[in-house]
Amino acid sequence: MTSGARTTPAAGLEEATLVVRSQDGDVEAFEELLRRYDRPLLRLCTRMLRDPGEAEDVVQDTFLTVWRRLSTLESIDQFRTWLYRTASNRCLDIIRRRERRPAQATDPDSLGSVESGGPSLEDSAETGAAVRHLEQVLGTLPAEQRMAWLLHEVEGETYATIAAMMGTTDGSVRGRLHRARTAIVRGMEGWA
Amino acid sequence: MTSRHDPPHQDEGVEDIDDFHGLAELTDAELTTSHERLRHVIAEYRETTDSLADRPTVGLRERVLDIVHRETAMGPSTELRTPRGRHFEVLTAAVRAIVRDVVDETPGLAARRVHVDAHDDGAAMSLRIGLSMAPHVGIDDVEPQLRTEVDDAVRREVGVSTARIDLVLEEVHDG
Repeated sequence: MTSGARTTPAAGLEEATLVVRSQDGDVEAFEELLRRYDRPLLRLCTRMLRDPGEAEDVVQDTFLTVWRRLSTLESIDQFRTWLYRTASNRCLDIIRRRERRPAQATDPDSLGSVESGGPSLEDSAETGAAVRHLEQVLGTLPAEQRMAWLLHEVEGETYATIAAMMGTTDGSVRGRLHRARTAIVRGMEGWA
Repeated sequence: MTSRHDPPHQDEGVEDIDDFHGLAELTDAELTTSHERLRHVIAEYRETTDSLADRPTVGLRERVLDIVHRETAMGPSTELRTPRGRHFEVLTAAVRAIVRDVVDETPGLAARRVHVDAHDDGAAMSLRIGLSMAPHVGIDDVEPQLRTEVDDAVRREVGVSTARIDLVLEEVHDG
């Protein structure tokens, strides 16, 4: 079994080699990919879903899906984008399902809170009021805008990479970011 | 963190821009300026949410790997036979792992894909080994010993010899 500190023999290999070996059924190579990407993905999904337990489920499902479908990945240098796209799609699906449940979707008290399974921004005594307010504003954004904004402003991804990760065009990403920024600026009036 | 490659937002290429529900009166420059004023809040948001997600992922990894190991154990096998003619099967993934271990032990080499075929009705094995090689390695210098060591390992671990070993240089890696 793995431990937090253990490194695999595959740790020194380049990503392309890890992906090819994983396609070939090398579990150690896949473990190294898991080790490199589980935490960044968990951060993104936690920000997106605001539910650490649900975020962990998404990351687990994402890696299992990727493992089972690795042979369909034709361009190995697209692995990271493909991984993020799989996780991103799952997050968006979950949010759309939540939005179809009216009681949760319209409850203003639920904004900015984590629904289950771990600490939330509101639980954290150190969290500044401005950050809590930003989290609330982000919670009002449509899921695609929130994802695009997080990928660009928090993860530092380019428009082209976000477009690939979200399966859309650069122009659509620009539009989503513009709308997200507009809503955030409006929602954060007085906090800058 | 801001994007390392993209310029600040520009209007060209924006789709569905008329869908702002009354928020579109901000000019692009005003929007950029106002959003920039929130940088410190965004930075604090990033730090705070990083710490919320910064928890051990060991349990997550173990769950994923448990399932992956179980599925691998049900993977394809290669049919072989002993020198006395008794047929047996070995997990193809296990043969690949044996070969990869030998290649990875060679300084400057790393295995990529390993293709395994039964040869001569299973009495021997044919291997096609993809290689990633450091630029300072001369393939002619390592090839004879690599073939010998792969054959030795397969004989020792699986019990059959190799009839053919194709070494294919697929990539040159740094270092």
